[in-house]
Amino acid sequence: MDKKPAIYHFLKGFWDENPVLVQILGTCPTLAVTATAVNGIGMGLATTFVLVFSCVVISVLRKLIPNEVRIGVFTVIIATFVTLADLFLKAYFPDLSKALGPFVPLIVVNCIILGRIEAFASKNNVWLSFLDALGNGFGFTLTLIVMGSIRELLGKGTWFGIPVLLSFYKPMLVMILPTGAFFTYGTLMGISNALKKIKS
Amino acid sequence: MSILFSTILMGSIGLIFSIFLVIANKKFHVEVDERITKIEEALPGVNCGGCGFASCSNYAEAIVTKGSKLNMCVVADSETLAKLGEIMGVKVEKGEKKIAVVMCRGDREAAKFPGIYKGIKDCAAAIYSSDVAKRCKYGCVGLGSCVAACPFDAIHISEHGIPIVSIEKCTGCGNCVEACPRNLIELHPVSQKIHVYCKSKDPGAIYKTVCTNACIGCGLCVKAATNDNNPDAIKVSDNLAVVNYDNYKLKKEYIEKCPTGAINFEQNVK
Amino acid sequence: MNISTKMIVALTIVSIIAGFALAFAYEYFKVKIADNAVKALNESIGAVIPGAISKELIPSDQMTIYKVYDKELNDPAKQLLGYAIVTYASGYQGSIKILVSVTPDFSKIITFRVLEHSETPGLGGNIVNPDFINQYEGLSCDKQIIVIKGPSKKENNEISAISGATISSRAVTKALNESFQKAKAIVTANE
Repeated sequence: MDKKPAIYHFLKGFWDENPVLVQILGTCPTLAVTATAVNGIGMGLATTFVLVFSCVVISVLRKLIPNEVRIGVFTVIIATFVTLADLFLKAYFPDLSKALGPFVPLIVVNCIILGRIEAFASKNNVWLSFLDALGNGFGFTLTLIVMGSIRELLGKGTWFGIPVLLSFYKPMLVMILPTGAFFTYGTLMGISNALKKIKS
Repeated sequence: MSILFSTILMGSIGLIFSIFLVIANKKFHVEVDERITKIEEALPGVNCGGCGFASCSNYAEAIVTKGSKLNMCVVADSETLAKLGEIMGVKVEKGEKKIAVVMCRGDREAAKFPGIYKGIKDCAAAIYSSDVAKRCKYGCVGLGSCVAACPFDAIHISEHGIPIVSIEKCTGCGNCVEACPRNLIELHPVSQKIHVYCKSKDPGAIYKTVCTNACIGCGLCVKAATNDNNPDAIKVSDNLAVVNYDNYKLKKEYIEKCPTGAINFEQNVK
Repeated sequence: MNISTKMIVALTIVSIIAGFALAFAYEYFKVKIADNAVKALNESIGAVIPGAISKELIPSDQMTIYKVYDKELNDPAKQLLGYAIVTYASGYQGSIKILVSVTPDFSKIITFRVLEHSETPGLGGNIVNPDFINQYEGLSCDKQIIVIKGPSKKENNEISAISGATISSRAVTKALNESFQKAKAIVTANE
């Protein structure tokens, strides 16, 4: 297959292969923590941290890990970085940690991480794996921010806690409930698919 | 010290589970010829089915275990074929490229349509559910089932309502052939440029009422071939001219006398 | 090294390193995390008992009760500001953790704060609103607090349920009602 320039592997995570809207991975945290924009960005950055470090470490070790134990080894490495992220949040951002709740430990089983490792980091060099992980992580974070913003604005009238619409808008409570999460997710996916079709 | 305890605990868990995996690995071991994995990695991985196998993995397995030919992958370029040859230790030659040929010229101008079809955008659905799709019972209804089936984006419905195949993009995988409910698409080598672009078995009267590009079985092409000492090149049966593909020997002069343009040169491709 | 040894070595070494790294990180962060917990508790107690300076946990394995002081006040009789009691309510969606404060003689409620809950936002979630909580301030601990659906009278120890969240309102009230006598007994036993 044709060779792509290194920068493509970074950029593809934003649009062409957006983990949330195109690859449809990591839907559980996407639906659960995007009731507010700040939670979205917190989860996105925590996941990006775990994704980048796990991918880099595994890419470095890829020739040393036997195929038969790769799932176990990958999971231990991923879980270690997730625990580190969880400890960090509990220490320096306790409110965010409480708000994200059990979804921080659940980053261990976030499909984006194992997905990128299996599809890319375990078969490519460190630099490309780093770019791929960073791009996917940032793409994930940006999508969460968009979803969180929409849900928070429509569901609470605030944005990052700042009351933006409350003077004239009565918030639609459903947007911060699970129903609203599915609506927003589906609509965003539909819009992105439509834009891709128009482009091509 | 809790650090020491944690380290030993984690290490022990790792040790115990890895021993489990060693045992499982031995118990459930399946002997796989490593050449199969190498070939699978070398193949394009599109799983288009053009080789005739369900997936690239199946083809890889067949090459190693059943001795299938190495040049069956239609998508593989010469670099890939060379790699396959290297893994198996033989020289590989690429067969002549085949492309999809759409055997119908009944577009919106030539063919008659009894009504407007507004239903599911699928050729099979249109044909089986109603008669409005097209008056011709053999012709292309242009709803794009072949387009949907193509994994290479090589076939598209033209503005006149008939599919056009891109010679460059088409790999001859055959998915569109399977998708067409009227079996109007056939795979032929690129070098064969003259075909009878019609499958209608209706008699000549259809010219006015059904389609002006149809083959009416007049036999003028057969006469031209016979005069050129090539009597078996084309045959007419059931009001339809059929090209002899087993011994393909057609010249441009044979098509000049065709009253409808059914037998033609390089149609429905670009 | 055959494949089996490689497998064991790989997984074991990775596990050892992971175990070490995590234990190390835990030690490094645990001070700050414990600090955060203390800060959060003090902040909550300060919120339910105005003027709180220090606290003392009453030894008990049944309930968490804090004696809250301001030892800088001149009059020793006034130094005990009240008691802060942790109690749990069975809410609509799960457990509700409440910190309620009462006067030193256990006669009246000072106020309360919801520490943790999973109630529906906009409905049961409104139990954190000051409008709801204010209703309880000054109510008597000796009588049962009653939940009614219409406008309520404080002198009758009544509170109005949140419309659309009767279950959450009732759960909070029930938890508070049950906590007072129990806490009083533990405090008295401890004196």
